[in-house]
Amino acid sequence: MNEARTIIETRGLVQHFAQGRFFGRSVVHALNGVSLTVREGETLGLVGETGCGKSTLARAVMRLYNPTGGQVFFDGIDVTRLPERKLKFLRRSMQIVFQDPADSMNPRLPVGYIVEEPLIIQTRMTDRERRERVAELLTDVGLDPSASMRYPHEFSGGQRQRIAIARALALKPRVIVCDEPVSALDVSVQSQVLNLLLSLQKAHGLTLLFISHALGVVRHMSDRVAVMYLGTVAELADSKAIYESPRHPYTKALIAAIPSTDPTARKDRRQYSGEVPSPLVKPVGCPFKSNCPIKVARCETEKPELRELAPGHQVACHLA
Amino acid sequence: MKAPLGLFRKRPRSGDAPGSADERAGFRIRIDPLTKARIKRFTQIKRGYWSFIAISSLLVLSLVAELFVNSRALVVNYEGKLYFPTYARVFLGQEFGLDYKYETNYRELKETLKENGKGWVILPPVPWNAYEQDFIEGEYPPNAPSAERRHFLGTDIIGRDVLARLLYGFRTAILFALLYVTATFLIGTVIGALMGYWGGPFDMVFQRLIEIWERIPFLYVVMILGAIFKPNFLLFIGIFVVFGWSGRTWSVRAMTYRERERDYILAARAMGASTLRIIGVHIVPNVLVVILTSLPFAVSGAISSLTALDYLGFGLRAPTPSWGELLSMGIAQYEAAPWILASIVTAMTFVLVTIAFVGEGLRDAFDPRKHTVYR
Repeated sequence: MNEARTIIETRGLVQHFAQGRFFGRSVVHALNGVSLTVREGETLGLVGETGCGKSTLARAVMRLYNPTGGQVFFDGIDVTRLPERKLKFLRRSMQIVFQDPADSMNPRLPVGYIVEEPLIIQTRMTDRERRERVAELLTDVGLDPSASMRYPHEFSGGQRQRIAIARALALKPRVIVCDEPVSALDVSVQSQVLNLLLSLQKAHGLTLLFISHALGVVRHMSDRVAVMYLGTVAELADSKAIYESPRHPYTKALIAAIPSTDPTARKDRRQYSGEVPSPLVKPVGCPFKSNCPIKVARCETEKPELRELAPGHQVACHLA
Repeated sequence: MKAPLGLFRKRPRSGDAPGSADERAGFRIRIDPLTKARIKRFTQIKRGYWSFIAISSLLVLSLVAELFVNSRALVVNYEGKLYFPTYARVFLGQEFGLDYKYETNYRELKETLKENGKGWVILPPVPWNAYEQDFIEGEYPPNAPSAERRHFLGTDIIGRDVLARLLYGFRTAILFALLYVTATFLIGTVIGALMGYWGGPFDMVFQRLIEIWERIPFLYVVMILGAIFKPNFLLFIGIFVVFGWSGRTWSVRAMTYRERERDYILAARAMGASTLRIIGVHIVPNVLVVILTSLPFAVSGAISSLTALDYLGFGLRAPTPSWGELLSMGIAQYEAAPWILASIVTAMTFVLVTIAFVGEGLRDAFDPRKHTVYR
């Protein structure tokens, strides 16, 4: 796995959003310097609590936002400042599946058109070729080709997410960014969609950037996991290492909070109290300082950078 | 496998048609079920539905008004040959054996042919056009309604048939209103959608521009321009459109702001869709509701303002049949010729109320929340 080439790399990615217009203008610090790499063919899981910048990272990588600072590389090419018209090639190789399939499809278009649209935009395929491809795609995600005549609202959540996956696959991308693809679904349907993603990944050699706040789901899906906290990466390591030997105090607290299926097993629960600091305030020092059980004076002033503590295990903590 | 898929296209296409993908996209999108349900709901709102049928048949009738209210005959049989003067060239009196070289007076021709037996004439039910004056010997116009002379609603103060003026005036007004509304809605939708979609400086600049533009007292400007240019029908629409488009941008802008934050717009951007495609295929169909429901009210508003201008004498140039002119004439002469005022007021009330009913029906049919009725 280590020798696989890097397909996506972010270097110090910063994304701020302005809030308010003239008076009381404030800045939301959604990403504060995120550096990570995604290797070809792997699944990188991205976990973190609500509002920590997971979705922002996904959209910034997709260039749906214009990053405030830092760089995004796709296959070695800096795509950070490319104008929209030159981004078309990036769009072909990188697609996204959104959290809420009901919202990610135009309710006024038939499913066939929704899946076909990327082909219309990006390819010179004929009508017939596109129609055949749509049928093929729908079959691939386990739907009947006749679904193309119907409209999104006629499908269940799980089926809609399959349609969204079919649309993402239409251009044969190399990377699919999955922005919490199952968190809007029933638990019973979640595993079906997850396994579909895994089998499609195997069949097409896809790279997945898989975002979720469900730790169990991420463990099931990912080769490596990045833990995010308040717009930064706290820890990045192989899935096994994250779950079995977390080094960052935040990761430790997260892992400890996973409910055990064994009622007799007692864990050393690290309580962490207090609120997540507001992203409106410009962060100084370690983002986790206000909740950290082991913080020292240095954490108040100096922001910890990601350090490689073991091969492939990066932690952003002064004390780890 | 091909057959069911073909159904989501509006019509089957053979091979690959020329033109960009964006241009062709329009052909595939059929009426979606939501819109179908709304149309069905509209047909169930009886008042709105029948008003819609009434006003559209009136519109169609007015477009072929020449067949019903016209000084030209429908059919002339002269010496065994048939003539259809309504939509044909001008026939001179000579051609039917009369002693003049200007356009035939078919009412006289009918009498002449009856006497000499060389043929016959079928006249429209109202054998008068909107411009000619009927002078009855020994009387002064306005003449009261008379079935015998075929002035069913009488004549105006210079002897023109009121029914003809009314019908052709309606045609002028409704065509004016439809053209004006179509043009302003197109411009307003495009600019409003761009303001909402791009946001930022573009939105800011256009908002301020429109705010300033809308402070210009529109009717005064129309009067001044009308006095300078002596506008014809098209120029008149042009002036109206220049000052009318801005009011249409607000609702579209607001709706677009809401829609553009939704994931399906992001998804479209993620697949590399152009701004044109995002607005045309994704945003506009989803904001069309606000546009459509305000359309009938805009039409009746346009009819009213045209009538108001004509009433004040700043509207279309003189002999053009117009409601405003009839209205001012009717008010001036309401004691001597009450039929003028009665006709125009009835006609205006009927048309404006009917259009309002259509608007109300559309609004009810398109609003899922349904409108509350306060009693």
